[in-house]
Amino acid sequence: MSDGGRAQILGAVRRALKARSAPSRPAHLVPQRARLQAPELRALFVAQAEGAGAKVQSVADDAALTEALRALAAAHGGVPVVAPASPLAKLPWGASAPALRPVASGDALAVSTAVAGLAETGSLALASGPENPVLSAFLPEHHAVVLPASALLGPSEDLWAFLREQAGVPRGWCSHVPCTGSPGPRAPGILK
Amino acid sequence: MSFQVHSQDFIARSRDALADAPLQSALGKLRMGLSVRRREAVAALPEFEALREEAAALRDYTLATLDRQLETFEAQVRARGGEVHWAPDAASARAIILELCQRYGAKKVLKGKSMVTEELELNEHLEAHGLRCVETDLGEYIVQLRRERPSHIVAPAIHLRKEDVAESFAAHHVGREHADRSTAEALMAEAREELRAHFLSAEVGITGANFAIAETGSTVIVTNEGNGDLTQSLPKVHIAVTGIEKVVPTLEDASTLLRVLARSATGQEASVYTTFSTGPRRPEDPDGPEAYHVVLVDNGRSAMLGTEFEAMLRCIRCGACLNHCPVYGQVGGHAYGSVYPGPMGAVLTPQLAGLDDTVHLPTASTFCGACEAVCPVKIPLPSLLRRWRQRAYDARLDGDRARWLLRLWAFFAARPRLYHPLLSAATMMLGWLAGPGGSFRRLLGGKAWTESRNFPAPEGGSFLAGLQGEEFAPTPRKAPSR
Repeated sequence: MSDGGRAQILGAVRRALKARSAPSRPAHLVPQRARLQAPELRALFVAQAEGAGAKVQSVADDAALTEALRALAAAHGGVPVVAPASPLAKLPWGASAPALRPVASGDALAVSTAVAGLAETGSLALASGPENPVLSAFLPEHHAVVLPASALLGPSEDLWAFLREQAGVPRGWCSHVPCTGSPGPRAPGILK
Repeated sequence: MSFQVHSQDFIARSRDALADAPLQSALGKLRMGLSVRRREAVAALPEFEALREEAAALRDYTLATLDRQLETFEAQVRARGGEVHWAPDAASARAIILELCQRYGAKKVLKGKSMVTEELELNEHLEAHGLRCVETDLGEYIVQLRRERPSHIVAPAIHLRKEDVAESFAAHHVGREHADRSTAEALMAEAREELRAHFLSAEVGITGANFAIAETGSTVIVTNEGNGDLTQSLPKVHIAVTGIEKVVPTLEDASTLLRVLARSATGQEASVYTTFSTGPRRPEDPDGPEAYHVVLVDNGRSAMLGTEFEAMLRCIRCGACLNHCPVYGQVGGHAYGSVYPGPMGAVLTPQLAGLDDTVHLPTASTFCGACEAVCPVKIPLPSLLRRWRQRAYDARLDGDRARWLLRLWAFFAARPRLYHPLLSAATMMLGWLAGPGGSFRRLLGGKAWTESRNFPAPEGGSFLAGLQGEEFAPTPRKAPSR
């Protein structure tokens, strides 16, 4: 059915477009708002993310990061759930290690790492893969995302360039404005 | 092409809607909510008008190269391990999706929000073949429980009040007799718990696609609840169903359209979740679907290319034209008898279903122009509606009374020396008769209007007089009766 359907649809489209010259592509516009340098970029990201309901917390080093994640999970009655392949698993967690396993429905807090933060909208860009299971962003009651300060970008166009040139296109990726939702996590937080 | 509509009784449904107090209460939220939020979001982005221009030109460019974009998209999906299926009409789309569900042994199907699957009446088809469909978008879930159709393309349950939702949950959620349903938050939490059980037990997830990106073979969904993400991530099969016009060439093009989409739809800077799906789970991935299928649906769309209605294919389904339409705002979506209501639906539905059964829809407009003014891709909706009216007139579908009145008006309008004095006299007379209140509660020949609202009396001089430089002179009012 599909092959016949393909020929039928493309044939109809080509008949309709016959002898028509395509218009030129319009010039691409990126809002000026996103064209900032640090520290203005950082300030815009924080303002946009907090405006959308996220809690943003800055941490100075790995020790402070693990402590902040532990405290956040404890506040919600659990321990942080971290993907075994995540670089977060190698952090100096000390005595109270996180749960290194796939996230399950009802977990108090899962932790992901953002491939980028987009200051234009305060969005977090999460790329799927062993280090960042997709479900970590959707199944737990609460979701914390670690955003390295060096991964702060302006508009989504910067992310597309990064994916093309360095990271490759992941199977799935999500640009996520932190916000409470149903059935998504109730209260995401960002640490950077 | 097949597209089921129930638009023949639009007038009767509209009358019922105007007398439906709970519906009018619910529609009040629409009138005061979404349009205000859009205005604020647009005001916060100085480049918004320039982005609208770019978005409209981009949609035109894509449509003019649609065959190439679709072929590129297909090649990219296949290169990443997915399959593309081409459905010329609704019947073939339903058959393809049913065959896929059966191939993977599905008993339960999760649905993300998708207007094209509403257009296909997919749930009914799958359920007739023994599958259970569960809508996961909160609004869609509510209307599914109530066995209704969405009344808005973005906010499916906008016609309902909190009390209506509580009543539906009480009737359908087993074992929750003492649940607190007094607040929207409590209702959302209850739906979240109910839906979680379904997410973990379905074999197939079906979503729509706001965009299909040719460059990467990705489908994109935007949601505010995360439901679509779970729908396409948890089951072992993800089927994305989308119209052929939803393809965009590049990731940057998607960025442009996303900027105008969220602001126009809900007044957000960006939707909460904007998720890109590119093929099935890869060997190293810990989760994601094992199989990824895209169903490209034509169902009348290619027949619009190259016609006077081609601009309608620019539509990105934001719903802004519904939110700003005075007719939609009074009668709601169900009156239209089509899954596509409001101004965009009044243009699209006659194209998809034929004008014979939908002739009332193009007349459901005051031609105020608000729909075109807010459209993020600048579709000239009033012009397109006018063309449908012309076609209805030419085909003698508009009824003897309407034709007789039009001919009468045309007789006078074609004779300015007669028309203007008569118009001035009628204006003076109506203004005087209206008295100090300035409006009529009853008016000869105007029953359809005055049944639901007062008819405002003319204020004074005509638009044409003003245009010719005459000073505005208020119409004298009759003294109040004692």
